[in-house]
Amino acid sequence: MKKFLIFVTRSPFDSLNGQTALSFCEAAIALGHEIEHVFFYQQGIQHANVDIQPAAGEKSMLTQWVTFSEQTKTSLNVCVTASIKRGVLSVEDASYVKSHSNVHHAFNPVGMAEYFSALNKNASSDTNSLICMQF
Amino acid sequence: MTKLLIISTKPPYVDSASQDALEAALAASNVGVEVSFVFSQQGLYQLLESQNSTYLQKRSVLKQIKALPLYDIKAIYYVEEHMTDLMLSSQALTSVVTPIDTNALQQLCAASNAILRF
Repeated sequence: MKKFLIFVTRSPFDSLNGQTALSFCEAAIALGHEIEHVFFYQQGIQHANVDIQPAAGEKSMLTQWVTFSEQTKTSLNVCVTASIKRGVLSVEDASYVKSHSNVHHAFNPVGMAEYFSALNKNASSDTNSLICMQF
Repeated sequence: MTKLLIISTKPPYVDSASQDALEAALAASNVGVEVSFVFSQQGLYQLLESQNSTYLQKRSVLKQIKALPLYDIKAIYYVEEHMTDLMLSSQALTSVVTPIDTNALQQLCAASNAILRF
C-alpha cells in the first residue's frame, strides 16, 4: 500500500487538473492506497469557494470533492494565505474583514506548514514513504 | 530530513507563481524541511539585478530571493542552459544563485523526496 499527498494548484474552471486529481484520489483509494490529505494552493483554493456557480449542465467540482471527502474521510486542506488574497475567506478571516465566509465547511483552512509537516512526518517513519503528486 | 525541491519556471510579477514558490519555500524551511530552489526556463528572469517592482507596487521578488539564505535555504540554483536560451548573461543575474546543468538538475530531482513546480 502506498500513501499519497496531493497538491492542487489550478482552479476548477480554467483547468482539468482538479478533476484529474480527484479521479487519481478515487482510483488510488479503490486500489487500496491511502491519501494523506489533499492540499489546495495557488488558484487551486478556488475548489473550496462556495460562491462559484458552475454553468448550467456542468458538474460542480466542489460537490464532488465534498462527496469524496465524506465517503473516504480524506482531509481537504486549503491554504489560508493563498485563499485570503483571492477573496476566499474562512469564517475566522471573514470576521476580521467584516465580510462573508465562502470556504466550504468540508475544507480545513490551514497554513502551508500543514502540508510540509505531513511530508516531514512520513519521511521520518520508514514504514510508508509518502508520494507527492502535484496537479 | 525531508528534501524538497522547488522549481520556479515563471517570470516575476506577470502572475503569482514566483511569489507562491517563494512562500512555499519559506513555509517548508520553517518546519525543518531541507529546501533546494531551482530557477528554470523563464523563471531566470526573477534573478535579474536590474528588475524594479516599484511601478507595479509589488514586493520585490529579487529581494525575497536574496533573503532566502536567512531562512536556511542555501541551495539556490539556476539552469545554465536556460540562461543561454534566454540570451541572458551571468553578470546580469544576482550572485546568490549558482549555475547547474541539466544533468545536475536530474540528480537533484532524484535525490529529493518531493518536487513542487511553479
